[in-house]
Order: sequence, then structure tokens, then C-alpha cells
Amino acid sequence: DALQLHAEAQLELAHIGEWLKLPSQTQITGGQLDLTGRFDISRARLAKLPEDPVLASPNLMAGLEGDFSIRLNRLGGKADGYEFNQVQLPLQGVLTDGQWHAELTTLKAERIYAGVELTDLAVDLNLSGDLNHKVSPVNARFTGLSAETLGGLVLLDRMNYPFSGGETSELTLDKLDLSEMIALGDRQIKVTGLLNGTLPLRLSDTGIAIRQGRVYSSEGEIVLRENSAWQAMLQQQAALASQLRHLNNLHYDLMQGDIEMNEDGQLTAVLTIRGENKAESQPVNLNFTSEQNILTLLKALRLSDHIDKSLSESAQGMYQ
Amino acid sequence: CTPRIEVGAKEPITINLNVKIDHEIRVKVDKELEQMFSEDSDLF
Amino acid sequence: LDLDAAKDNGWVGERYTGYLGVVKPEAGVKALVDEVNNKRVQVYKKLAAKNNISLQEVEKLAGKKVIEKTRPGNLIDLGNGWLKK
Repeated sequence: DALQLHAEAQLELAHIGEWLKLPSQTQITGGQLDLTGRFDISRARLAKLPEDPVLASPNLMAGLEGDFSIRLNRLGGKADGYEFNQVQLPLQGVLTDGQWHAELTTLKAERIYAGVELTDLAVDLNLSGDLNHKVSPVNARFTGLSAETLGGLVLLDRMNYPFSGGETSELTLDKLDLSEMIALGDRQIKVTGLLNGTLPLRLSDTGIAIRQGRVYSSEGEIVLRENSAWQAMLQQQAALASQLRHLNNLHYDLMQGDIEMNEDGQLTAVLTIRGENKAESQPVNLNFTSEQNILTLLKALRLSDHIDKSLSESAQGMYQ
Repeated sequence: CTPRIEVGAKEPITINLNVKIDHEIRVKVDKELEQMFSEDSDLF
Repeated sequence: LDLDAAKDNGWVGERYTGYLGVVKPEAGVKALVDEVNNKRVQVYKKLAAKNNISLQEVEKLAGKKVIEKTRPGNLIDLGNGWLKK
């Protein structure tokens, strides 16, 4: 025969910092956690448990059989410049011999700020784990991630955690607004158009790399007229200016290129752009190569751009 | 009708532009400003 | 006149420009604001030169920093008038 253990708990996460040491710069502003579990443990197993509770608990866990439900609702907070709002994850699963397995579920988040705004994020999730497995107690399989960002959509087909060696995944960019994207780096450059792309990712513990990414935009404008640094350069480099001035206002009908990024975030984009300075009906072929560190850009945005973010969202109200 | 002189489409010109952007500076300046405006400074 | 006191009394406030602004011209407030802003512009110029970016770039980043660090209740100007943080 067996002893039945029934557990039920509801936690308000806003006060979690009072009894659980949160990592520095991490703040939970809200959310609920509902836990329920029904477990059996055989009396024989109970009898063999060692006296010392520290030794006993893993044995106890290993001996439990049963099912659990963990519902995370409206989790919100900040961590090191990142922000997350209305995160929701319902989990149902079974536990046998220390191994647990949760049914396919969906993780949702209304907003994630990482220097770039991601909204309406949703990803399907298969979670399982081993209570006694010290190295990686949790295995996760993400499929069909989608989120709105920069006026368009980003989609990730699948990702496993922990990362096996050659874990590959594909990130799809769907109609991202180039003007919003460029404004992240420099507000005085105006580039319009909708960017599509497929970026093969290689995921590992050292980071995320992009190998042979392809991006393209079918139509738009490049306007450097208001860029003071650019205008200053045109004045200083008279020889180059005769050609470069066409970029003051260039209409393009094709932009395509290759993207490479290595694990530390260093990204190189090699773009070919076919366009025309309409004012002078002068056709232009622009070969544009740019190199920057995306992780550093996102960090800079998380550090200093935050004021614009809250300004645009709720105007002055937030500061009353 | 007056003859119209049709200018042949201009030859396309090719522009090669390489840009290297260093975002590290914004992170560095932000840190320096943070120290500058620390609690005890007379600037803040 | 102490800067913190001037802020807490609502006589001065931080502006998005990176500089202090006079809210109520009480005695000595204008002099204090000019003194602090003069010191700030020197430091901003040094920062701009050292990192070879424009003074405006440094002022923009400084503007965000001073508003971020303003204590709740003190006054800030985000571009259209004084507000209580």
C-alpha cells in the first residue's frame, strides 16, 4: 500500500524577493504561481529513508509517483535592463521515479524588452527533467516561436535546450520595418522598406551564430540628407562627394545580401542595392558592407534608450 | 512638333561603401556618466 | 545654496538636454544653475573628445542619465514642461 501526498499552493510572486534571494538587478513586479500535486509513495520506500533529512529528500523525490500542475500567470519584472510583462506558462505533467514529463504547452509573453521591443511572443514547449540529474535537471524543446517586433514578425522554427553540439535552427524575418530597425543604431539615417530574411542559427553554450543568412527588401528609400556626419564628410571629400551625394536621397528597387554573425555578436552584412537618384534620374548600384556588434548595440539600447521607451509608451503619464 | 532630344538612360554608377559602427562607445560613455553623476558629485 | 535642497524645494529640475533648469528664480538659484551647467559642459566636452563623438551625443546620453537618476518627487523636463517624477 502507499501513502498519498496532496500538495496545493498559490504564491504571489511580487513578494518573492522577500524570501528568495533574487540575482542582483532582478526585480519581480507581479505574477502568480499556482501549484497542485498528488503523489503516492510506497510505505516500504518510506521505511528505508535515511534519518538525515538532507539525504532523505532526494530519495523521497525519487520514490514519488503522481501528477502535478504548475500554472505561472501574469509574471512581470526586470532583470539587468531586460523587461518582461504578462508572462504565462501552464504546465501539466507526471512524475515517476524522479523523472518528470510535462505535456506539450505554450509559453506566452505580452512584452519582452531586450533593447528591442518584442510583443505577443508565443512558443510551444515540451519540458521534461530528472530531479536527481545534477548536470541538466531540465530538458526543453521549443517549437514554432513567433513574436512581433520592429513592425513585423520574427519566427524561430525550433530550439532544444541544453544545446547539443551542432544545434541548428532557422530564424525568419517577416516584413520588418527597416526605418525602425535602422533608427535603433542611428536616428539620423533614414532607410525605408520591409525586410524579409532567413537566418540559419547555430546555437551553443558560447552563443548564437548566423551562418549564410539571407535578407532582402523589394523597395524603399535611403535618405542621408539629414545626417550631419554624412554631410560633413561630403564637404571634406569633394572627390567622393560627386558619387556619394546620390545617397542623400536614393530610391531602391532591390536590396539583397548576406548576413554572418559569430557567437560574440559581431555581425557583418554585405548588401547589394540597385537604385536610382530620381531627382537626377541617375541609376546607382550600391555595394554596402556594414560591421557592428549586435550584442553591444542591444546592451547600449538597454542602458540608455530606456527613457525613450517609457516615453513613447505612456507619454508623460508614467512620470506624474 | 518640336523634335524632342531623348537622352539615353544614364550609365549606372557603382558606389562601394564600408561602414564599421562601434556601439561600445555608448556603453562606455554611459558608464562614465554614471560615475560622474554619482551621489556625492556636485554635478547632480 | 545646496543643489539637493534646491531640487527638493522644486526650484530647479533636470532637463532632457543634460543640463539643469531654473523652475523658480529664488535667491541664488540662477547662479547655482549656471555654475553647475558650466561644470557639466566642460566634462561633456572632455567625454566627447575622449570618445570622439559629438558634444550633442554626450548631452543626449547625459540627459537620459540625469532624468533616470532624478529622485521621485523632484522635477524633470522631458521637452514639454516641468513634471514631477
